[in-house]
Amino acid sequence: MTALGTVETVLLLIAVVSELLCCLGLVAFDDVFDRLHLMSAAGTLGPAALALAVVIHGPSSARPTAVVIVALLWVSSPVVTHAIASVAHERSSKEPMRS
Amino acid sequence: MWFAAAGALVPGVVLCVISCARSEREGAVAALQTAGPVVTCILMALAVGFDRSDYLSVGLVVSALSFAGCMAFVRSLELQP
Repeated sequence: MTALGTVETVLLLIAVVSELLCCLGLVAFDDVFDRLHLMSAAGTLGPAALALAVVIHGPSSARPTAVVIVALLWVSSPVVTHAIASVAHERSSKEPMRS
Repeated sequence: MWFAAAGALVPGVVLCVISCARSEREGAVAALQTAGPVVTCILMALAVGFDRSDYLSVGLVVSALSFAGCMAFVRSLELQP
């Protein structure tokens, strides 16, 4: 296996393991704010590693699309995270205090 | 190897569906939004595995529609009393 093949394999492993850990964390954690941490991690690290592997190994026509996909995910993920956190905070502040 | 990566990511979607079914509304939207990048990664891996770079457009559309759909759900949550 060449050096680029090794790098590609490592990047694929990083992408798969990080995405699976984030999905496992979604099931493990009950609080919505804990889940938001994992949601933002799933939208940044895994797709970036996979797109880097595509840039290294994939056909040249696939590289711009992979970069655009990651850019879109990197822009959209914080927006959705902030929106969900805002709604969750607003709804939790409306709930009556438990004694 | 790319097909193996795509297959290994499929349980992630199942975990997102389980989390979406078990949690309250905000947590369900978070699980839905998490499934978007996972499905995008699966589609990217399949596109490279099949050596068809045109299929990457599907991943691009999924990532864009996932964002739009989640913002729609968040907006509907805001409007609920």
